[in-house]
Amino acid sequence: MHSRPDLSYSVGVASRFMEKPTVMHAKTVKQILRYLKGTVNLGLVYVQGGSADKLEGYTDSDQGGDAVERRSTGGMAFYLNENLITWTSQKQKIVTLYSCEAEFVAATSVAKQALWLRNLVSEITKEKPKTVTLYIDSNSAIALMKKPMFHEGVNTLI
Amino acid sequence: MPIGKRRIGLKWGFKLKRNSEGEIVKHKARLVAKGYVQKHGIDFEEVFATVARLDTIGLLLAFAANNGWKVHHLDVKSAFLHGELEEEVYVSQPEGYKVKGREQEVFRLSKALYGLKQAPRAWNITLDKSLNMLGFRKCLSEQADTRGTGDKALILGVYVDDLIVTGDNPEEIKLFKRQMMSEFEMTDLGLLNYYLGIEVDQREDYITVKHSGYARKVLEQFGMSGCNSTKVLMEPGCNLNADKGGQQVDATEYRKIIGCLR
Repeated sequence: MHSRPDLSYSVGVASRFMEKPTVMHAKTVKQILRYLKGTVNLGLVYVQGGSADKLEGYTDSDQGGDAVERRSTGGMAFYLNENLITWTSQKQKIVTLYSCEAEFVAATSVAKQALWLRNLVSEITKEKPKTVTLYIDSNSAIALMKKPMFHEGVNTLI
Repeated sequence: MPIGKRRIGLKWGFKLKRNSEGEIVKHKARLVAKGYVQKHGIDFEEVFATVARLDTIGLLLAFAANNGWKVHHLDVKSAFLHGELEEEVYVSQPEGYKVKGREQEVFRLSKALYGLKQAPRAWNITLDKSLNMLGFRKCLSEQADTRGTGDKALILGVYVDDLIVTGDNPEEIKLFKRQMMSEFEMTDLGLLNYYLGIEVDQREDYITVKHSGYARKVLEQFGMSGCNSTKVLMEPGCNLNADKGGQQVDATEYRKIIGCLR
């Protein structure tokens, strides 16, 4: 549902058990529906903003939150000025050993999306592609991006 | 019919069209070709359909709201029937309209029918040509087109036969609508208010989008209309695992619910 970013994580988690769902999973899904019932009128608001089109991306990740495969789940959200335009919550394709790595993986996918979005915005506005600001709440991941060092531990990505 | 060509059967399709409240607004009858018998490389060469990602619709709305623009919605009537066919396509005669005594003969199509594999692509080529003539330039990253600059700029999102257009200048939007109407038979749906289940509300200085009608329909479908609502989406620390050995539930139903919530 493209107006309900709040559902995307829970639905994503529930969808991992589609192959062999049990009573436990059905309970989770039922709770999502009950939550939906209480929030049917929620949606997104797009407001009038400044003249400059500022594109910002946010990303975060857990670390091995998936109890089955120990893979991490990353999320991202993009804003055009004050307006949320796109978001995802996705289980990462690889196993990472440190939260720094998981954040790095999430940041990589947010960067890919940022490139696509900023090209699209530039085509629409007919202005040169602008810098997209990405926010990541992990200092070590930021450090790793700025200076890709070969650490003894952090090597699953390299 | 030439040897080596395939005869494609026709079929009538009947459909009810509902608005966002679920009320019936249209009864539709449409002649469709049984395109599933067509083979790639034999009956058609390429397939393609213009589907703008929902992200792009979001971006378009956000962009319009940000600039205080209005978003308009146009719909091309029986869009696929406009597509010119490149290939030779033969169809049997439609039920109820057979020529007496010549029932075994076939028609050769010059334009596409719904159901044909090449119909979406043929329509897209036709639309592209028209848009190009009207001065639109295609975006490289999405199914969107733009025209003009400054206060005459228009942005157009294409979703098969739905056109979503926005721009600073209302006169320019009006002009575009007139131009399109002279090319194709179109319905001017005015300000965008409902699109693929998304309810759009355009106000003076903001736009809202929600899925209320859709959500209610989903709740009803799964017998949850009367359930007790909750403010908690997921128990904190609820650690879902594969639950091996747990009592299994109907997987099809489970998948259906997930599919509706995605």
